Amino acid sequence: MSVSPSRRPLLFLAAAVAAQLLLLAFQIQRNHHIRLIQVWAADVFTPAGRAGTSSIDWIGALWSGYIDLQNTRARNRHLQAEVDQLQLQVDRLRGRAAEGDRLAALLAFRQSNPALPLLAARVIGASLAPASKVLYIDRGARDGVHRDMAVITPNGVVGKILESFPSSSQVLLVTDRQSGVGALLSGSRVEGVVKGTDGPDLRMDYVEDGEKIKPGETVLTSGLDQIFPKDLPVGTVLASRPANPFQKIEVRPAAQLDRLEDVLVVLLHPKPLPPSTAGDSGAGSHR
Amino acid sequence: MSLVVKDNSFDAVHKYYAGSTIGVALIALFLQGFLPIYFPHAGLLELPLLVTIYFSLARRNAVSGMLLGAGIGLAQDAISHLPLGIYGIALTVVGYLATWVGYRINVEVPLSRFALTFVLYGLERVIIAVVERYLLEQPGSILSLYWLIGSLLAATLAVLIFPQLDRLQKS
Repeated sequence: MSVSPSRRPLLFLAAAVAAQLLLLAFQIQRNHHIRLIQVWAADVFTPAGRAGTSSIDWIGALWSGYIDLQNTRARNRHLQAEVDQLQLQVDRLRGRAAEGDRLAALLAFRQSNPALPLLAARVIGASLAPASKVLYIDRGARDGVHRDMAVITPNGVVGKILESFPSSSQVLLVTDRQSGVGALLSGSRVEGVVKGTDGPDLRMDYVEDGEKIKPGETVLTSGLDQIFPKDLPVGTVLASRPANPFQKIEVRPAAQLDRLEDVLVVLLHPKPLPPSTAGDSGAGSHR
Repeated sequence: MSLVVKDNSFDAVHKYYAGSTIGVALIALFLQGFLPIYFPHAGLLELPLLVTIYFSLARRNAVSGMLLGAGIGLAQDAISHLPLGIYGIALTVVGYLATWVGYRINVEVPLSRFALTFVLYGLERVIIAVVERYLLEQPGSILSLYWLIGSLLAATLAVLIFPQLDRLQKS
């Protein structure tokens, strides 16, 4: 860079004054014996350093926030896969916990009824026809399961074995129109027969019109059908209407028949009923 | 005689006997320190300033004027036990301006010498006051009657001694 000769003295002047200002700054001390030149240097370099740091931070943020998205995308994919896997694991553990609860309930029921020979079975399928109220379990003749054995849960009666295959069985639910369970009302001990309606609820027949039935009353098995052991919960009275000669009583099933996963099969061979009582006591099936 | 340069008749560079500049500067510095012992207000005269103005005018070289001013100023700082650079800066600027003015006006006449010295004396005080206020953090009045009297005395002294210094020029 060339400087015109006429300006050269001015540059010399500026240089001479600047040099002496620096000389002064080197000598002058401010508070705590800090030389003025140090104060100036800090004043000059601190903003520059701050600006430099801010710039580097900004560039870093720009890089990581906008440019280096390749890694972010890959990391996102990896994390998403990990989240999916963990979600799967959580679902599996939840399922196992629920299964554990159900099995614990089955076990508790089994321990509270030591006289009953019970066999735990898993529901492996349901009927494909909506009108048919049957399901399949993973236990069959090889496990000692035979026709007309009772199928229950700790909550209540489920149905009975309709057909027994070597390794599986078909269960007819109590909600099927063809089903019947010998039952009694827990409070009045009035007996009757609970039958399916092909709907979600049951009805109790053969209760005389004069009997006082309270909604909410529990309906238990009477044991008279020789299939279901006595005093197992069948359901709860929803409502009763007077009719002649028998009342019309609606019963809500005690077992959650729409979400069965594990059941218990009562390994008792049903005793054949005397011919005179087979029709009235609810022998389990009218097929 | 006009104050303003109309031609190159005042552009002549004066030559001095060897060592005369340094000798005069040293004498001025000595007197500046010595006289106030007996005459407390003698420091007002600023003899180093007068020497700087005189030789800068005579040499007509801006760089020489600046270097002379810087040298005399730094020496004055050193003798005065002031931070080096206070008078150094002031006399550097004075040396430069004196040379710059010397090109443009006739500084051989007493009136121009008086006026130039008066102005540059004031400028020196302003520079020193600014440096003291903003660098040394010692606030002081820039313009006061004391310094006004000092500048008038210095300007008068310049009118008196500059012709004597002219005698040091080589003929």
